[in-house]
Amino acid sequence: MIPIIGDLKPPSLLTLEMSDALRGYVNIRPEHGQPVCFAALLAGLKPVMDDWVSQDRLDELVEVCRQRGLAVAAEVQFEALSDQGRLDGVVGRETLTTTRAVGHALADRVAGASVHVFIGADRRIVERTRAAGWYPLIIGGRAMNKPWIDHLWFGDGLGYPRCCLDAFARNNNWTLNNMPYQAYRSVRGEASYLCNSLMRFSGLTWAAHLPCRYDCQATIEAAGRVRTEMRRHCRELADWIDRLCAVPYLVLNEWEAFAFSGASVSPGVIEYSGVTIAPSNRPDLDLFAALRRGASLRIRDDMVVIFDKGGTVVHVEHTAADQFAPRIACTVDFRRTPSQPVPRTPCAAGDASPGRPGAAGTG
Amino acid sequence: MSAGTGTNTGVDEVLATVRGLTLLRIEWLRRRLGALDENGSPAQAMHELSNALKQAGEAADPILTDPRVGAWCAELGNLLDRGAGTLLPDGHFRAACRRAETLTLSARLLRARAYPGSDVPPCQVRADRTGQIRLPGTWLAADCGAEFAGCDVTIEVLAGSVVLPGVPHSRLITERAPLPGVVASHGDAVDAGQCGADPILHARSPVVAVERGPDRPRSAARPGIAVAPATASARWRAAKVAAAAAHLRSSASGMALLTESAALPPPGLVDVADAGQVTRLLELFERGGDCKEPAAGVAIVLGEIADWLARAGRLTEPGELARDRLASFGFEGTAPPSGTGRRRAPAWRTHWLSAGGRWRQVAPRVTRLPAAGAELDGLLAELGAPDGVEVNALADERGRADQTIDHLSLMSARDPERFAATAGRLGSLPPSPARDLLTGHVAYIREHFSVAADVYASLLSDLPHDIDLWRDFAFALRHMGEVELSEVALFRLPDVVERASACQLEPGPLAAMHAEASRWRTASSPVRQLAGLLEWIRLDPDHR
Repeated sequence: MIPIIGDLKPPSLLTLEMSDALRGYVNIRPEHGQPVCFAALLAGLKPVMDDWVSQDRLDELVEVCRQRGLAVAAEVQFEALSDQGRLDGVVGRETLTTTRAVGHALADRVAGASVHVFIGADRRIVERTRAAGWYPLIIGGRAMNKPWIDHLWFGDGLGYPRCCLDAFARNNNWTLNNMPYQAYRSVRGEASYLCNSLMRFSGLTWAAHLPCRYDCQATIEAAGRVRTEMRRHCRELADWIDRLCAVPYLVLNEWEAFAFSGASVSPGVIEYSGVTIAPSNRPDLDLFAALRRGASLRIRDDMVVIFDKGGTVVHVEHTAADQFAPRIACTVDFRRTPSQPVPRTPCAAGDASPGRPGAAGTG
Repeated sequence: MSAGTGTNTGVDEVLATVRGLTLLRIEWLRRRLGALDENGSPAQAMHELSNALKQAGEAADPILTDPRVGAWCAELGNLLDRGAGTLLPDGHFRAACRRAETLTLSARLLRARAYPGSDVPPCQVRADRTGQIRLPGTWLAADCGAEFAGCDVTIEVLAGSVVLPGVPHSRLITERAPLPGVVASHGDAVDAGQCGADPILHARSPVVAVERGPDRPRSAARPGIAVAPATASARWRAAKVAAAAAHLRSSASGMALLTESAALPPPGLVDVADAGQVTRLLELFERGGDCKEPAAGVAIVLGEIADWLARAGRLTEPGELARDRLASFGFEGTAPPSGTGRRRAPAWRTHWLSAGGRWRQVAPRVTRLPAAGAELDGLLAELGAPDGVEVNALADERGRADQTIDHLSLMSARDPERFAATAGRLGSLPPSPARDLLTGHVAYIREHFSVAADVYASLLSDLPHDIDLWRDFAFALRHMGEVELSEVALFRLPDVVERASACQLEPGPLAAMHAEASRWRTASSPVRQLAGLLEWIRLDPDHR
């Protein structure tokens, strides 16, 4: 999993002023942690969160949680696959999506592995969520998946809204479908930054789940409460999360999303001064490099055409939908504020003119 | 499709076949798009194409035999098969549908060439990702410039010449005539890529056919035909296709056959190791018993595999697993195998015998749970198992064979009433292993985990080699709070299957192994026995 790279990269969490309660957690999980979920747990806004911690810090995490009245249940260890070539011989590798890790028993000593833990106020609910919280792991050269229904039980345990679980049941098919696209396509009003979970692997989003729509009311309400709570614990971090979430995004699938700063948006077009890649275990670093060289992009059906400041094409990205994890390009503008409405940008609307920077409308 | 001979007659036959096939495919696509939305622009564009081809008659033949058109048919057909027309109607699907407009223009141009005076109305077509508009069959392309990638461009035909009024700097190009070669790659980029950088235009042979079918590894007898089982790994398939392409290139060009096989182990061994047959061979070796000659033959093969695995540098995880399993049977791969092999029994076998344990009777392995009766047959078909539920063995190269639990799960989430009705129907069906399995899955989905565990354990009594059932049993245990035991089943699956397949599980010997935990005393006999087995493995200091 790569970290956030780009001009929206937040500072180290350890440098920020925050409440003692959140500090205890952040000291153990300074990178790729889930401070938003932890703050939500502390306030009773979320029943359970799952997290990963190195084995040598597990006891410390358990103690920090105990002090705050939270129970911890540990599960197996994840050894992230840094070498994707190791996937080649894995039976059932096509079922591995956002998690690509070798599983090890809790008692094993494995360098670099992390223990999967479940944290919550009610141990009974924590353990029930753990039972459903198995991730697809590689064990003995074979991808080991749980029964599908466990995904719903797991989401329920984590407190995800019912409408979003229903959407997951309808749309979560990595072979044929694309959940971010469906969340975009289902928007009835305007996309809300509170529903933007595209950076969720950084732990720095107000929603931790895939919303049914980018204007899902249940998500907006729940995420809004969490945001208020986080501002109480650490205003500076809350501001950073706002900055990460409330910008326009180019989204291709769950693996590939990019945030733009200094941007103006019109249907199928983003002009920008900065770009940031969302954390992913399958990041498209070549596309990211092209976007960094560019200053605007246009979606033309199955192509994302990137121009530099002078209007020269620097890259054309083909987005194929006839493969695993189908790619379909959407621009989603999450900058909504009551006083500054932003028009909805049709997904891959087929901008039909060659266009030059400056010719596009502004959002 | 079969391999061409390189003579004109062979090529003509192939081209005639391709022509007819492409027409059929276009008609089929037209109907399918019409079924989605008769008045939608994709259906209309395909309708226009059909009409243009009809009007052009034989003049359109170069379009129909252009390999790019066949590839487009496969691409659009694949998108339709995947449901992209309703799930993902933007992006790639829309772009693929719009290619029909370009082909319509091609057909009209060819008609105008054949019948001077026929009209070619102005139209808009879409430039490709390089900013070019290629007109298959005409050998004509218009280069609009990179900034036009994906753009609509208006094309007019004036006095037989193509004009792009909105693109003043456009340039017309005459394409190189495509070679009379066809790559039937079934739209599979892995296969096509193995035939060369640009297999469609640069194939040095008339035909490279990739057949898909049942696993018949020895049936690739004809040169140039790669028989690739649909379930084969990409690496295996790629090697086969590359070999076929190399052979054809060599035949056509007269150049020496170049292969990369030197870097690979002997083909026979790759097949064995890649297909995960080591477990099966070990079973054969172990059960050879009185038949010394077959056992000796198997031992030689196992020894060769062990030698190769020992010599190989870095192994994949299945490779490592195979090496470890071979080593546990004495095939260390460091010394040449003896005629009969060397077997060292693992300690658990000795312990089992010491505890008074008995071995299971060897019985033919069940590979499928068939439907018993028309109603169950229909139900299984609904759940993605029209030929019965397949049993998944360790040796099979499949993540999961039984998909019925996931189909039932989705049904319960998307259509609870239908799920309830399905569950109700099960109760009235006569007992059979397939029905019992579905009953277990329904209990699991309803969170009746002890009932599900009971059903799974009963089935495992007869199907100890079914790893899908072991997974389901493990997850039922997990939801019953037995996380540690469930992880024994998940993490030590080969060990679990091996012992479950070998041992006649009975309370006495399990108790002697201290594996009869008191908390299982009230469980049903099958659950108690399997829990005992897992406890035994968990406690066993001898485990690998």
